[in-house]
Amino acid sequence: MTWVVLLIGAIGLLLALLFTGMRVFAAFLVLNLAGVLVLMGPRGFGLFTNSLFETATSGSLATVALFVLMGEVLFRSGSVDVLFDGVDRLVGRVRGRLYVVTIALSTVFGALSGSAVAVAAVLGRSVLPSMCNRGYDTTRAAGTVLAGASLAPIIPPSLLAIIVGSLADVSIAGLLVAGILPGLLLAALTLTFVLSRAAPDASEAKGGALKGLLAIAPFLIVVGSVMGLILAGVATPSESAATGVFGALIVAAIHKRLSFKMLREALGGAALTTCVILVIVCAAKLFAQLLSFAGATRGLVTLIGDLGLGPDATFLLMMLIPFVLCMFIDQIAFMLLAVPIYVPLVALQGYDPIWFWTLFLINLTVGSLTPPFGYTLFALKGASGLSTREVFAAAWPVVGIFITGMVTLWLVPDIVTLLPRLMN
Amino acid sequence: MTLSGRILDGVSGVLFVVAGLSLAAMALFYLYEVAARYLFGAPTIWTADAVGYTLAAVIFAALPEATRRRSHVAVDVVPSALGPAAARALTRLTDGAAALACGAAGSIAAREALRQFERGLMTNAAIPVPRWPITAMIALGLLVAALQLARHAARPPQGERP
Repeated sequence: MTWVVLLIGAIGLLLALLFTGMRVFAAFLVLNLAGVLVLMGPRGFGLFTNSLFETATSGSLATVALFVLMGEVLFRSGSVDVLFDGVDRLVGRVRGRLYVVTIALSTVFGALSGSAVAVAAVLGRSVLPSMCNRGYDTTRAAGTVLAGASLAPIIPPSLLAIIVGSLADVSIAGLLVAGILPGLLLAALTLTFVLSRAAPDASEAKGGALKGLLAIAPFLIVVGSVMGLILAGVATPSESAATGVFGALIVAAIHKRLSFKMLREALGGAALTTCVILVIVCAAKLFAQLLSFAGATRGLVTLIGDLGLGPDATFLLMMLIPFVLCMFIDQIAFMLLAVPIYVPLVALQGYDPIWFWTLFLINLTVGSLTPPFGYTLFALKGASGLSTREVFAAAWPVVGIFITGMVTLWLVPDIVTLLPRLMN
Repeated sequence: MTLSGRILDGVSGVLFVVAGLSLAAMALFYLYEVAARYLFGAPTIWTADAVGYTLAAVIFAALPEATRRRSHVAVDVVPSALGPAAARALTRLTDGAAALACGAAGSIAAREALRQFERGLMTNAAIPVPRWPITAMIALGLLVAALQLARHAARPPQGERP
């Protein structure tokens, strides 16, 4: 049972380093350098460099860089402001209209940025104060922003889906498409919750639905150049990310916001974000090989098999762990730790990989918005200036909504698997 | 700022420009591939590999600047619960440890780049290219980032709350 000691030691060391506040990529570097020394000695350093090389030159991870660039172009060109105004006009006069605007904007922003933290920060600074000023209930308004932000890692193009697909060797196109219906389901559940208790609205609709429609129409170019080309089989996910960048540049040009200065800022911002995300992946990738080398992967599979748990009980156990740990640690860091351990278990239990990893991603998102340590909560608190108590109170109903959504997806797996099946 | 600090920031800045240009090149490579395949019926055999090499440049050339700006992801639950002095001490400690880890990883990669250069190792690609420039970029990014981390550990900016 040496692998058990090694596995517990490795996870313990990593969590201890993370909790001291060490940068996540550096913590993984320490873990893997120590792992190579313990398991192979200095002769294993070639494997370490090879792992950095192979991960850093992985074409599937280039997708992350290009989707980040697409989002940067749209945000820095001010096209997002035009989108904001257009959605606001389009929603018109409905009861609790700003809740609807928030969810619609979150869905679109989430699709553009792929990051829950980014969407929570943007909406927490823009829409939330406006809702509070117009007499909306603060807790429910903040909850709507949290729910909307949490759609970002699910609705395509999701950066987390690309990283999971790359690590678990699952179709990235399938994972991206699989997020569409669950994302819409969760958006509908959230809207049903907030609108069922919405008071009559004191805010004034801007009016001009046609004007709103015209404002958002250019964004169809971006949607078409990303999801349209993937679904039509014209471009791979990586290529569609590049065509998405091109689409975003066209949108910026239509809004007369295309300039060299904007392009330079977008490239710099995207390079920085890409580095911050992918250097963690590069530093962590060797962990999977070390687990396998130490016999932990095979040992875990045998152990779970010997426990005699059914697929449902195993599934619950595999979902409970990320739910708890993502309250405390970063989603990407957890993914890099867990995916190599989970991959053989998913195969052993015979789960549909697209279905399992989609639910896994939603679960990570729920963990990151669950008090007391969820990352999305801190982003909203920092952006909005709300008290910790208000943010926590807003988060609990959203956690409930997302868990309801997950149970639905567990019971009706076709919601996840239908579109990937049709695509194939 | 000391001369060594200015040189370090200058090198980080130049590498950051390389990262931005590599990202632009990556997008252009894929756009060219889609256009070549669907408009001219002439798919290339080099774009996928070229994109991989430029991705390595984006990640590791931007690493020193990301480190200088303290942009990296960290779990700050414990440091933010401590008092300012204790948090500062813990941050300096973790920055020092991270500098050692980055430095060790960078020197291992640098030795490997040298070995690849001496043996003339090529990439396993449709159009093979030497491996050492890519490994050298990885090593350079890690080593300059290690120096930035060491500077953070030695002299954290005044008034900063980790």
